[in-house]
Amino acid sequence: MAKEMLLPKDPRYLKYPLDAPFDKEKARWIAFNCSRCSVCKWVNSWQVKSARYARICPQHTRYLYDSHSGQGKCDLALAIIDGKMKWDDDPEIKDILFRCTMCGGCDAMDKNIRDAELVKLYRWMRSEYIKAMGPLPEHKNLIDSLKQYDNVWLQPRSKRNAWAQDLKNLGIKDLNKEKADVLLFVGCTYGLSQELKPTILNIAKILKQNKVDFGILGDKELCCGSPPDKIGLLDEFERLATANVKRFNELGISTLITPCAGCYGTIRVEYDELPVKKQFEVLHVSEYLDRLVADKKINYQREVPLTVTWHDPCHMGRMGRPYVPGKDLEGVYDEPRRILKSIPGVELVEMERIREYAWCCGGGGGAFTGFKDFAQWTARERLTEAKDTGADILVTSCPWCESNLRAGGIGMDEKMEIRNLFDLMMQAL
Amino acid sequence: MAKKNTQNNERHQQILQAFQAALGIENVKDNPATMNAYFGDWLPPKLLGMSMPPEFVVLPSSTLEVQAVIKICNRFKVPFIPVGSNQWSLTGSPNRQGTVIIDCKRMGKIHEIDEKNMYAVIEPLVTLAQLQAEAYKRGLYIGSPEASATASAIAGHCFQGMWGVGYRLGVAYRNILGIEWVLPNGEILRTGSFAQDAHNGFWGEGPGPDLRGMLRGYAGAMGGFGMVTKMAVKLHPYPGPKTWPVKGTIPNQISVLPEDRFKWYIIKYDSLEGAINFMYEIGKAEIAGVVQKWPTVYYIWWWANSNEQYWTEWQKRTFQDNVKNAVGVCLWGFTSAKQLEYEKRVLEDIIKETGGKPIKQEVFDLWVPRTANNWIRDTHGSRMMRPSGTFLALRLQTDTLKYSIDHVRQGYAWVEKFSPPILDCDGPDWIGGYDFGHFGFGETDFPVEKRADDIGDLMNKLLAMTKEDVQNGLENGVGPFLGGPYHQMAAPVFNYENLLKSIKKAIDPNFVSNPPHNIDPNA
Amino acid sequence: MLKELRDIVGAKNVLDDEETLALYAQDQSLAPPKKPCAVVKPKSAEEIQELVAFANKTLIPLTASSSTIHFYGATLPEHGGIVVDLSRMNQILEIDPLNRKVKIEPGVTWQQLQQALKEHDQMPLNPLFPHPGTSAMTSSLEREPMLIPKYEYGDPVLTMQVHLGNGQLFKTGSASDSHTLGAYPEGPGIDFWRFFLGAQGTLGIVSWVNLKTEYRPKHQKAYFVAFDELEEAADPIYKLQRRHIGNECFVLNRFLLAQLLCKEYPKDFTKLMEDLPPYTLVLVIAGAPRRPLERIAYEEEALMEIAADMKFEPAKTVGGVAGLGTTMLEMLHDLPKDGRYWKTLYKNSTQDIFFITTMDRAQGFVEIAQGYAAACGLSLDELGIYLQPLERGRACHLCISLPCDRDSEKDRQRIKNLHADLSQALWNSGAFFTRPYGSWADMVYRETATYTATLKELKKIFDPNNILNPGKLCF
Repeated sequence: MAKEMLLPKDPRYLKYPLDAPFDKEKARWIAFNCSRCSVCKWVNSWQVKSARYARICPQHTRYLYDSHSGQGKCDLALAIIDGKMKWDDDPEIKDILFRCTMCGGCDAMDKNIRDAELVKLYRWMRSEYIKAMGPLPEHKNLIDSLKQYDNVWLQPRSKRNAWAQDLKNLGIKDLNKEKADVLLFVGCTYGLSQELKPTILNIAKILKQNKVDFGILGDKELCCGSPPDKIGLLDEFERLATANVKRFNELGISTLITPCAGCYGTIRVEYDELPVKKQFEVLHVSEYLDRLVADKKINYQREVPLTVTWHDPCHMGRMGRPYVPGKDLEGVYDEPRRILKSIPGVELVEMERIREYAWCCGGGGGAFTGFKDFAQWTARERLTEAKDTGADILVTSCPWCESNLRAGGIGMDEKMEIRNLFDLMMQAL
Repeated sequence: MAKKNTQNNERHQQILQAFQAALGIENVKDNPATMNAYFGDWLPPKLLGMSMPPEFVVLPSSTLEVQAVIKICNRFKVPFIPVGSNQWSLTGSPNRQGTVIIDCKRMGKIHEIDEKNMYAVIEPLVTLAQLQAEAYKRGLYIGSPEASATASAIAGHCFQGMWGVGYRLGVAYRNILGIEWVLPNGEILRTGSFAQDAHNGFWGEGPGPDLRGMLRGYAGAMGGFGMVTKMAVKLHPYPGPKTWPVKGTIPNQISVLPEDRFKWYIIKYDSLEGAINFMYEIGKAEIAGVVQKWPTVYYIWWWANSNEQYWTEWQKRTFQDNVKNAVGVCLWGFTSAKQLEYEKRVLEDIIKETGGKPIKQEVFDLWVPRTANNWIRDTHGSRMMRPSGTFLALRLQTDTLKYSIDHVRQGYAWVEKFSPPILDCDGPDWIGGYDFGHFGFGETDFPVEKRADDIGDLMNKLLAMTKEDVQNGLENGVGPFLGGPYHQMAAPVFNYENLLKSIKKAIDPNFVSNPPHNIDPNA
Repeated sequence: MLKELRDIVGAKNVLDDEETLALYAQDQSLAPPKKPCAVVKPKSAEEIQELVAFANKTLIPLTASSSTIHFYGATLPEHGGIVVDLSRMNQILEIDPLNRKVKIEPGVTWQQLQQALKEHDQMPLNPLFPHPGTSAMTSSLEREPMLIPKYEYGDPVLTMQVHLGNGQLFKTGSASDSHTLGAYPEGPGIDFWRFFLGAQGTLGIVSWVNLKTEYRPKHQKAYFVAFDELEEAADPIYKLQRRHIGNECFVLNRFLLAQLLCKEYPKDFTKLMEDLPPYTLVLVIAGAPRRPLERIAYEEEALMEIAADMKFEPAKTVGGVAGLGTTMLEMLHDLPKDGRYWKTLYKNSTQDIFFITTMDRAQGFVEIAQGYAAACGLSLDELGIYLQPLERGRACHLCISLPCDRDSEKDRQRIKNLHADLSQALWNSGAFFTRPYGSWADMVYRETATYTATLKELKKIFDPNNILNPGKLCF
């Protein structure tokens, strides 16, 4: 008689409890099974192309101590959960938790080794920390802004639509009053930033030129909830996210497109946690336009003779798809690259750390607002890597990436111009 | 919290200030949240409550700073543990109060790569993956241990290091050239050509008797002989591409090396003897780059991309029914594509003569592109933890290939005896061929569920069996080479107790270098 | 004392007559004579153990000697005492063709070993045409370089049995476990075996050693490449070694090659000196056990491709020497059992200076040597140069041979001074002397403070009474 197979007793070893709610039990499971392998600190070794660009974790690279790493945070989680430490035992706990861009670099590398969700663990830890210790003073403005204005930039709601006034003659649909197939979800940053206004204008123009049936919510648009989600204000996230999904479902759209990687990742992935389900597809604008490029509907008029390098925003890349253990860490990697290659005259050269093993811009996880020194340090590392490719410009399509990279570049000896993908497209159109 | 009491303690403050004066305030920490990140590991100690947080973590940036730290440790008689990447924290978890972790995070330079003379000079944080990447660009190569290329290259040279390509290019102990090393007594020792010129590490021997002998032994000194701060390591000729060829996305990456220079075979036999005979013939024929007989469980450890996939496939017996007694061979065309063709013909002759059969093509196609090249680039060794949270390794031994057979069968018997809690692994006998078949290495690795009760109980039983083996005069043979508890146990039997204790006393008079490693001179 | 010694090794194996003592008091080096008080010739490990115990009891030092000829002064008893001549222990204890190793006693010579292994299609990894009286064990322990740089190892030593100065009998590596075959050097515990390499018997007396052996090729082709300067050979060798081409690979200058090939001195020698190129690279391409000619074919093709690319010419001979290939292969694979040492054809002794460096620096060291030689009145044609690539060309052993007429006090003095001055100059320029014989010891160890101090600590452990070859190295 065949001997019975000796399998693990704990069913979670037989299958990762993906659908289990993220509570203390699940957090402990992830933390407990950290074997201190340190892949969370380094680019996956098969992808390491040089000694210089072998690190994946900005926090660990900057702060050096292992406490500032995925492994360190697992150790911290275990200590807190098992009652060996308390949140107020050490002021550095705040830095360990929050001087992290939540970029998912560690998360992605860890998924090559085991089934786990490190970023979700950090999110849980942040929310537990805030419950015990209160929100961070560094995030006060952000929190106040959300409460007062439903955006993160302390700007009155009415300002959210200001950019669209320049395009009145284009006749962009107001989905509060009209119907359209596609909602262009602009996001707080593109919606409110003067600096980034040309980009959103270009996006709208490109969509209009290609006869896309789209509209916007204007000053009725709420924050997607990404910032509160990342800094641990999960109730605030739930408030905004639930309101958004309900509203978007009411619009009867087939597709929501957004140019912001943060909004994209949040709506595409995090919104799946909500009890109310999306009734539309979620795409990054680059995914949408890639389809048009593939159908040869984009008619470039001029050459853009530039060598460019593409920065993969984390939240449309490795954090841009729901996790399925064992499946590829898919994300929006190829679409922007195809678009770049389609632009006449553009030559694409890659940085060493790209795709699911890209180095973060530094702007995520609350670092951009709360820990500028760290955010800009991270950006400078990325800019140095971009410069080393020999490219003329660095291209990306996330307002946080653009803003933080530009901020980080101030004062650097060798400048690297940052350009948005859609601005580049427009240059050729 | 107890730590606050320690931190307020006068002695603690004195030590803290001494470290800060030597390294700068930001490079010394003693706070609980930092200490908490330095006592976890893969092995039982943390799980079984045998490890504890350190008292300090310090970040020196140079040999002189390491020397300063170690001198302070001697002055205050505090134990220190030098760590490299601290992957898995094999012996990097403090086991006594007041320990200082010397963390090399500020020592990550590759000082030099001499392409012509094929060596690199590195600091402790440099990983094998980093060094491999730089080597490939120059048409050179360095191996990766089963544990992973994310490990520190220096630390990897100090411990085991049975790289897949060690079959052809030599394993870790052969790969060390000059060393710069801070002894536990605070003296800076330079060996090999570094002894003559601290900037020239090209050669490893001497002068005269070779003090590299103190550095390792099969399992290294486990931090018990101070800290290596610089090492020159050999690089090797490499006919492969300048960047590692990878397609796909984590965790489903595949890697296919150029077919005109690399070729994999997996050939199976009806018995372990048959497989070993095949390995001998390959060595005698002076062909191949990698020759390994992996246990069934390795195939699925490296291959499975999720827990569900692992256990589903395991229960389907995909590997158990197909790779038992199979030998993985990778031919390398070092000289030319014609060499590869020649070696293929020779290997095929040997396969025919020895009665070997290739494994099923569908299993080969399933496994090889995703996994085989692990043994050249990186095994992602931590995947071994996936199926049950941890694994254990026992009965590591090295002698001839043939000797490995009996030895791993003993390992088999142990595994059978203790299953459960050892989980299903279908025979965990790993045998590697090295130095063109001049010697063989065997190891017994198996999955065990990461549960404190089970592991604690198992560890006690296995240690008891090892002790019994030793007391029985090694009737069943036992790997006498491991560090940790084995030195205390094995040293009297293998006749090196007084020697090792004397050396330890001579260079670590205050017994501060990761006690009780590598041996307790007072026990 | 003598009685006790006779009790240990037998009366006829204890020698204290003046003639014998004078013989052991000096060797082929120019080191001043050091006379022992007795010479003993043990036959077994047990006898060695007893000798060590005796030495510890009486504090009379022991100096081990295994070869019947010595070149570097290592076996001259600095502090007097007893020379332990191990040449009676000349058994080949075990040949293991399956695992390609051989276990030998100290007195086994390379020639003896080569012949014994031939029957098993194996060969030892010997250095360059060793003297017939050279102990294979000592040669290996002293890290004399192998001729074949293609293997992943640079020395063939596996495991050994050592009689430590503290009286302990110790086995290194896997030999420490009697169940094994002693095939793995590491351990037990730490890498003790490394301490005994290059130690000149100061830490222990080895009574047997396991050495690696390799397949003795049945098909080979010897190629010769002429160079005007040593530096011209460096890049070709780098390339050839990177591509794993060839077995034996070494460079001899005209002076040494002429001595090697000379059948009738001085007639042949003079002609060879006229005809041979300044430097000759010898490269042997060998067939493997299986499909030997096919391996030769692809290596040859690669050789010619590299040669065409780098513009050098592998030829079947140099200097028009007929049948050079066959001669060379015979010499390599059939070492002479006796006869005159090839390096002492020109003068009756050779004083060698050897060290490790990298091939791209070799020329510089040769020029230093040439400068010193010229200043000393030595013709450049009288300087021997031997370059042995190591471990696929990552480094090389460079040997400068100074011929010396030992019977001429003037020549001895001249060469002795030249040897000392040139050695110092080379060391100062970065030549790495890994085997610090004689006066090199002081030159090296006074500049390697911590290394020296640590060695001394080891010495206290392994030989607390300093009874093993005291006065050598830094002890």
